[in-house]
Amino acid sequence: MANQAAKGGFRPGRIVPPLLLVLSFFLVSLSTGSLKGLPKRIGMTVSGGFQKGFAAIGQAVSGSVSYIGGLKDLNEQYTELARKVERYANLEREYANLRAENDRMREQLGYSKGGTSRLIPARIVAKDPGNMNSGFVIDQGSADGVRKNMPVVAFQNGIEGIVGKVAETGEGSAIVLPLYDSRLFVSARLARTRYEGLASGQGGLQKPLILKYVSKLAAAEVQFGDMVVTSGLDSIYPPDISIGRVREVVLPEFQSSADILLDPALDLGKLEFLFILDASSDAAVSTTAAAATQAPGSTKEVAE
Amino acid sequence: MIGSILATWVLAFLALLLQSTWLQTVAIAGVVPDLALLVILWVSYGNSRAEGPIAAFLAGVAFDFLSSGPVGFGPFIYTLAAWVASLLHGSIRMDRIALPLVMGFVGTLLKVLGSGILEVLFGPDKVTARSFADFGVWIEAGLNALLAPLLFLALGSMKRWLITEEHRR
Repeated sequence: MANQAAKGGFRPGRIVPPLLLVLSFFLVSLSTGSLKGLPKRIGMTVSGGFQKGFAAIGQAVSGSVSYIGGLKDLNEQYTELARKVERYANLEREYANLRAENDRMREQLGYSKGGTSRLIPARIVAKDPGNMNSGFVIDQGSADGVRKNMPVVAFQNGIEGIVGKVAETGEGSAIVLPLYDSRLFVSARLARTRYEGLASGQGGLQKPLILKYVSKLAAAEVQFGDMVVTSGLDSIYPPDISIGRVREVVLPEFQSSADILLDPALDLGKLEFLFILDASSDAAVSTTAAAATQAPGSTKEVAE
Repeated sequence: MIGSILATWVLAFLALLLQSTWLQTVAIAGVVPDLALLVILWVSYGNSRAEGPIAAFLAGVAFDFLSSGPVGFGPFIYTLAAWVASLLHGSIRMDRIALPLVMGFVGTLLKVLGSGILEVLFGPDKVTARSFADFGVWIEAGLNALLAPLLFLALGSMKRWLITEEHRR
């Protein structure tokens, strides 16, 4: 038998690669079908720990280096911060007054008081290792209350925008599918004209988002720079969170609807911190600047 | 055989962790080199037709746990590249520069081709493939090609763990 193999007869090693390819197909079927997510969750829980460890070491090293470099500026920053704290204390008093006034006016207008949205702050600890998928790993997982399909938002330059949704969760980490991934779809509407459509990515950070299923008639009213927000019609994303601004309107000849290209509202390549929105509280999103600056690792109740 | 597969898997897993964390800070246009792929290609070339693809399959599973793709995606693209590399075993002689360069470049393209096959079979809503028209693909292919000679040289010093005794002779 061994001699036969040596002479070019049947060699078990030859069938191993095709068998493995078939097994890979089976795994893809499994993970995109009924048992979707089970193997992934188990693996993520294990590998997420390693990933967080690596990220923590990297952050510790770079943090130490920058700490030593920044020691000189510490005193100046302290003085500056003390001044800011004083200013914020004044702002807080002003905010409390405005809030009370707002509540009174809401009451007069007969609005019911909204619920609360729970924001779970998270830090991006890793990205896709092989440039093949666009997801990124965050340091909060199912143990912190993160669940699959929870919407993810972030704040940049005072704008609250959609980042994506939670694709998979491990015990202490989760994978976020970003807005520019072609597998993500968000029910959207044009903020000014209120026409609805379906926004999705085109697979790359450099490529614009695309808003589909807006009729050509409606597209005629669209202007460059118009803001597109979540419509709240799907069960995942709350309404009125920024998605992007209109860059270009494309009118395909043999299609009844227009394709509207969008620039994302957030610079998704610069994200470091983000917030997972706990939709279980069933509230529209209303966040404050305080929520945006909260340190990761804790949760915060934000009043509507 | 098992020792070689395990050692390759550990090395590839470490490479994947590096790629997803530290190397992201030096990414060129958001693209990082795929060191795990290079490890797999080298081991597949150096061994017979079984060890490399098995290690590639296992490294692919680890890849999927670190990324947003479905489980099976990583095993498929890495096993495909490993299989082709293992076919070169004994037919083309390894040199210091040219073959590593070609293997790094072509291996990346095979990875992209594999993702395309899966996208066609399972649909774009399940599997995301990268297009050859994507400039990032060529950046990655270039990075992998440039790094392959260096990495292969370094891997040569670990031959006793990565290559089976039968093939070291």
